[in-house]
Amino acid sequence: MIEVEHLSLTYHSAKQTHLAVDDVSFTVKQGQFYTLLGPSGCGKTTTLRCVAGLERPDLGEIRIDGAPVSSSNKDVWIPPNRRSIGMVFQSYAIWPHMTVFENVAFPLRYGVKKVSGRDVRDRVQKALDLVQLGHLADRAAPHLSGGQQQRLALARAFVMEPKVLLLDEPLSNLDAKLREEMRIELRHLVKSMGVTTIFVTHEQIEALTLSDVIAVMKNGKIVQEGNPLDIYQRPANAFVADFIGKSNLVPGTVTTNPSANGIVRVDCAWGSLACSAPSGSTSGAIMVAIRPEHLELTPSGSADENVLVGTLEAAAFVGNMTDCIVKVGQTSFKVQLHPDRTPVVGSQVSLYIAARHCLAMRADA
Amino acid sequence: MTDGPVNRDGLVLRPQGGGAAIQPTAWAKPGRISWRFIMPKEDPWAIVMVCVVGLFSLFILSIPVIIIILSFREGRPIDPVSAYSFMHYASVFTDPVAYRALINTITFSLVTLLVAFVFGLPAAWLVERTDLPAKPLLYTLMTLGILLPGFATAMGWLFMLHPRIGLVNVFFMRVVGFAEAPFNIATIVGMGWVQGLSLAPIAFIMTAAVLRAIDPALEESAQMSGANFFNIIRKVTLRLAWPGILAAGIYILTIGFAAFDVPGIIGMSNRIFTFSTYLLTQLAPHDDLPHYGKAAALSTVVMAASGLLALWYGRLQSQAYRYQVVTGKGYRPRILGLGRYVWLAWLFLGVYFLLSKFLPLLIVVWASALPYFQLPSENAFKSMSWSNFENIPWDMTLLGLRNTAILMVLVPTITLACAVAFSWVVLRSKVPGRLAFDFVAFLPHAIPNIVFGVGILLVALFLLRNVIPFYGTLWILLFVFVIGRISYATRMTNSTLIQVHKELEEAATMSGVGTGTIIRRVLLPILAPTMIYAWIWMALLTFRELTLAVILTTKDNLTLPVVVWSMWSSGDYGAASAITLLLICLMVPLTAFYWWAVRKTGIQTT
Ligand SMILES: Nc1ncnc2c1ncn2[C@@H]1O[C@H](COP(=O)(O)OP(=O)(O)OP(=O)(O)O)[C@@H](O)[C@H]1O
Ligand SMILES: [Mg+2]
Repeated sequence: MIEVEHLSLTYHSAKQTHLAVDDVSFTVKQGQFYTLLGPSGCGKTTTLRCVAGLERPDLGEIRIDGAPVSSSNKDVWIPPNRRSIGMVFQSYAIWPHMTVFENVAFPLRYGVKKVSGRDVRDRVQKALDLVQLGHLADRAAPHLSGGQQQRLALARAFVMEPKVLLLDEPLSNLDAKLREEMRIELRHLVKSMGVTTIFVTHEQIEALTLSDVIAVMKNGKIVQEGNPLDIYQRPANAFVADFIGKSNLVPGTVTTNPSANGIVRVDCAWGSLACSAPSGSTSGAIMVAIRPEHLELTPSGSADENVLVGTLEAAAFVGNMTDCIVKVGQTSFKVQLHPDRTPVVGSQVSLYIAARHCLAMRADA
Repeated sequence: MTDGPVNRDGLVLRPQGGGAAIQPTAWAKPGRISWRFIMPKEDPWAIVMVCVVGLFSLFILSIPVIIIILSFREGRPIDPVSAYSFMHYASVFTDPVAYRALINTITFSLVTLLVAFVFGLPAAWLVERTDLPAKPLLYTLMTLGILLPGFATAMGWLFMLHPRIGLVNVFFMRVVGFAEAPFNIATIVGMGWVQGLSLAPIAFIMTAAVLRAIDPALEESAQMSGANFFNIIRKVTLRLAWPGILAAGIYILTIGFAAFDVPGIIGMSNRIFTFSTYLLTQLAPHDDLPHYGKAAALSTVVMAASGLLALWYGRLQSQAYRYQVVTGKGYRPRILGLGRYVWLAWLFLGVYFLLSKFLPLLIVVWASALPYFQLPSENAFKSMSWSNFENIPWDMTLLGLRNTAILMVLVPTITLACAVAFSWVVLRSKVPGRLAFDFVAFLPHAIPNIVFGVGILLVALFLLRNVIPFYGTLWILLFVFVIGRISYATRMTNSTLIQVHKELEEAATMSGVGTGTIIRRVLLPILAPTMIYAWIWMALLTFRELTLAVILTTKDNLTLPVVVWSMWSSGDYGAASAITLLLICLMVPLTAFYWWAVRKTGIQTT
């Protein structure tokens, strides 16, 4: 279990200071796969490095299995090499002057918990077999492909049987196809080890497919935490709605009190919409988030359905669907339609959307 | 010795003003810096390295400070109390010989610069911008050219152009019938010529690096807009390369300031002094007590001058890199076909190597084979013998050889160990104010080595006399040689450490190991190629180092070049030539090893 409380870290450079992590708190339960997701520069890596002990937080406390490893109040500091944490770096950090075997054996041979010679062989072999590199044990490390290096880095992190595993964008250096394969394999591996894991990524698809819990970060803060379905279906604010999947964001004003089933009416530039308000933003100026795939050409007949009438401005065929732009009043909507059912560009279209798919939320993060 | 990346990193790493100034901000009070984070006590190696770097830096810093203090102190340095005044400065600027020496130094440095550029710049251009064949060979010859001891070529030139015995002069007077000698090498211009020839490789290496960094597209676009060849060179190439070339010039000027070999061999016996040789006469006068105060004042003046030059150099370097439109990857420089004129290029380079290396060496060989120096003639050939070699004072020479060998092994080793510690502290540790250490490591590069020699002499004689009596031992040489090389070594280790991804070490930390193991098992193996290269290079430079040794040697801690020096100063030119040849022969296997290491590790000297 990892507990992080009120973590803050400021970077100082000659000319400026930068608050990279701003009062971040979260808990990762035993065996959980926890993902920090956010745009570049939002402080994910810094948070992860604080947990690892490679950065020293200015404020806050970090506990692993209940024992503080870093605490600004109690003045506790356990150096990173004594935290028993496995880590996979973005660059993989495979030592180029060693063989595959030596790379994995390194933590066992020289680490805090030294292991005797015979056991080293066995454990390294086991770890390599786990990531299907057993047959490459004697290969020089630089002679591995990207995917193999990535698995080697995993094996090296696993071999110490750490309490905690930290992964910093481990898939970002792989090409698209390999990344997809490794995504599934990674989750499988980590889950079979049962190790508590923090995973850092800026790819929403990785976060959604791999995680038990996702924390979305922005400007050094966690703006929403929840399971993947939650995060996708009930984004707490416009930032999350747009960052996780694509959304059409439309400003509006709430004009009614919520009905029995939580529906409010929102006035937008071109008319009024029935919206659901999952995060309780039920008054004043708000944003309405509408996912492109929820806008349909045919009415479903439900009671709270909205209709938007506009002109099809552009359509781009991308295989399993067509990405379209529909102009409603002055507002352009991204819409995803089935290729067979896409009207010709320039024609008038009616788009239907259920109220539960129109999400009213606070505009600010 | 310097080269491209070294300078570049010197720039990158030099503290950029207030790097350590941490401002607490209102919204996040930084926790106080805990030493347990910077140097966990379970991590003895980190502590050792920080201590080594700290102590070493203190030593380096203390040397200029002591020189400055002594330069103001009246009376002898041992006097317990003494007044402070500008007395020694007054004596420097009123003593006509001292004043003359300062003026000489400036003229000498300027001539040196001119000669070095006349040969170095065109050679660099030929290598980087034309289709001259056999470029790697030229690079190798130039690099090895730096290694040839300056005193050897100085001897050769003196034998050639000495007003009385110089071969060329004698030839003109006896055979052609001139009334007096047409050439005289024993002048400031003559010495500048010899020094410039031996520094041309540095001008070559530095400007070649600058030229290589200029995007040829800039020259091509000039060509597309209709400029002709000379206009492109003048208006584009030279313009863009200018800050870099100027920086190379300043660097050579600084070397010229403190050069000892050439003024020592050629000038001293003819009573023409430059800064370094005059300094020596003040420290070890024949007929008087040493003038330590005056030497300190003189050193301070030169320190100030070279400090200013170094500042300028630093600024130019940053300009050079701002200018630079480097793409790094995938461009081919615009190559000029030499066509029929390739012979001209070869002629030019041939003349350079002939003048700077082969002729002087040949004449030293000639001199070593003769009982006394004379023109080639039937008689001369008859009198050739091994007698100079047989008459070498072997006890002295063997002692020198032993000492030199010890230094040659220890100096590079210790310097590199310190350099790794410096680089690690500056680039990898979290010690507050670590950038200051990089500045300290850069100091011996900015201040002439000979000044450090003087400083350590003063420290050893007066400060540590009763504490650590190491004046006259090999250790004092070891110490000053290490200081003299630390800038070069840290530049080398810095530039490689920068290229080593930090995560390689962090991965080791996360594997549960401490700093000691990281350095041993991860860093050193990765740095090994550079370290081997730098080790051999420093060993070679140590082997031929005369300047620093001359100031600090006594009869017990002689090195081989000092043996040559003392033979020469006592007028035994035959023996001096013989030992010089011996020394050069001993360098050959090491140089071969160096060459092998360069090829193996693929490190370019530029
Ligand atoms: N050593 C440092 N000194 C100063 N600022 C830093 C340092 N490291 C990171 N930062 C800044 O802190 C912020 C957070 O950096 P961090 O590396 O945590 O981002 P990230 O979320 O991991 O981004 P990415 O997805 O690009 O890896 C960034 O704005 C970055 O510029
Ligand atoms: Mg990151």
